[in-house]
Amino acid sequence: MKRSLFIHGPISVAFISAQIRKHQLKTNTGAYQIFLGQVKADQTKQNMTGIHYTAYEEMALERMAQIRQVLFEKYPVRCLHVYHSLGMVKPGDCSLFIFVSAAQSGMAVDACQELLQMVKKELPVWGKEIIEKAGFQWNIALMKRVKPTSGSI
Amino acid sequence: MNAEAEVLFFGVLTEVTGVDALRLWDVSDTAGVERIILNRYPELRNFTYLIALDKQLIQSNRLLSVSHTIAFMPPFSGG
Repeated sequence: MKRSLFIHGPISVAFISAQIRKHQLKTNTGAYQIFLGQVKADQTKQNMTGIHYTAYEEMALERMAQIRQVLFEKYPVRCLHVYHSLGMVKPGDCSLFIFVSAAQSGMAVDACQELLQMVKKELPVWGKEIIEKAGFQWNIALMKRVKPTSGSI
Repeated sequence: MNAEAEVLFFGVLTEVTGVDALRLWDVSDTAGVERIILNRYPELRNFTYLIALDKQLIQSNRLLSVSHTIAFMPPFSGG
C-alpha cells in the first residue's frame, strides 16, 4: 500500500471510479469487490451536520500494513486498498472506500468482508458527530446585519 | 533506568486534557505514566481508553528504556 490511507474530506465518486479504471488495465483480474461507507443522517438528531474524523495516522499506517500482510497470506487476492476520510464528511458523502481485486469473485468477497471488519476494529480512527447548535444560523444573520450599520457611522 | 515519554491523546480524550500531546521525563514504566496522567487529569477515569506504546496496543505494564511514544486513545470508531 502506498502511503495513501487517508484522504482529507469526503471520498469522491470521481476518485472511486478513477481507481476502478486504473485497475482495469490489469487484465488478469476477474473480480472487484468494493465497499463504500457513507455518513448517514441521524434520525434522532436533526441538527447533525456530519462526522468529523481524526486518526493516529502513524499507528494507523503501521496497522494497515500488518492487516494487508495477514490478508495477502490468507487470500489469493491481487490488491487490497483502503481509503478513509479525515476531517469533515457530510451525510450522503463517503468516508470509507475499500477495494479488493482477485482472479475469482469468491476470494474477493471474503477478503473484502474480513478487511472491513479489521478496519473498523483495529484502525485508530475516531468519528465525532457534529451537531449544529440551534440559533447558529441566526447569529450569523445578525452579524451580517450589524456590519453595514457600524460601517455607516 | 529512567526514560522520556511523549504522551499523545486522541478523540474525546483531548477534550478532557485540553492538549494533544505532552512530554514526561524520569518515567520507568507505562503504569507510572498512566498514574501521572490520571493524577493530572482525574476526569479521564470516567472514560474508556486504550494505551499504545510505540504504536502497539498494550494490555499490561511495560518497562520503558530510552524514549517512547505512549498514546491514550478512546475505543476506535472509524468507518
